[in-house]
Amino acid sequence: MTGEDKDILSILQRNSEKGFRLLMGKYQEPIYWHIRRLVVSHDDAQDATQETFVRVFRNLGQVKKKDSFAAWIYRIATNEAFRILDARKAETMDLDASQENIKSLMADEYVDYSDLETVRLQEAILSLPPKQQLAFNLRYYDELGYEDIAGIIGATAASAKANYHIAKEKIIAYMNNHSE
Amino acid sequence: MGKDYDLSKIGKRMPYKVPEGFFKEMEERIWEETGHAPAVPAPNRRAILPAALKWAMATAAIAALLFLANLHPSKDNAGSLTRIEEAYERLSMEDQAHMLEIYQEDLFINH
Repeated sequence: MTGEDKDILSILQRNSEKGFRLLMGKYQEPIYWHIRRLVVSHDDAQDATQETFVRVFRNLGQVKKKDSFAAWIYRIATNEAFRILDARKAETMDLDASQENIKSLMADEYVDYSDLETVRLQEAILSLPPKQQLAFNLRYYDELGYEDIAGIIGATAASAKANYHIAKEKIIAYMNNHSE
Repeated sequence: MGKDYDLSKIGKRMPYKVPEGFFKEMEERIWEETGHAPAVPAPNRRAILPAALKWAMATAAIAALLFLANLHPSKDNAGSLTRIEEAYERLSMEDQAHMLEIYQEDLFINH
């Protein structure tokens, strides 16, 4: 756990509102964007983020000082995101979840379609298998270490690193093929 | 073969947007939902717990003494009980705990 995270937890014990604001200030936006990149829809990302933090605050007592606090929060967020994706898959009876996510990308109200290159990059990420998607997002956007990523995706650090590099190669290939 | 696509051209830019004031509103909703009191263990919980246990044990020991006194009623029962309580109160916490332990483990007292 980083010194900053230890400080936040310590403040939470003395002044719950101040600690809450500090924790939200540090993690709310990164966690929302992490979930959003996975579920695409703003409404679903909002629900999953809210549920993530409710769970985080109700289970803070379970965090151990030796553990990475960031990895713990991201793991809860990832579970919430996949819970939504599983429910979506069950609703649509569509076996190809990545296609379903790309459809969401094309339909969401809060997507800027004028920035085509970024839309294409998200399509490339969404076309990857879940572990590669997670490894890429957590490394590229959230800049987490491979140890933390491994803890989140349930793999070894070496496997997390391999997943990231394979994902990056696939994304570059996708972008090469889809560039105008 | 053409040059590979350079991801640094996009960097962390994303096409996703959020409504105006979204994060502030969500923070308030979460604050409302978590009951304003995030569950973090209080400091020195371990130090507090044995003290609480000691008091519970001491109370149980008094109950045990009262029970013993009732097994052997005498004319001066009220006075005996008072003396027992006073004697018990004078014991250290460790001795009180020891008495309780004996009471709990003694088959003849308990059955």
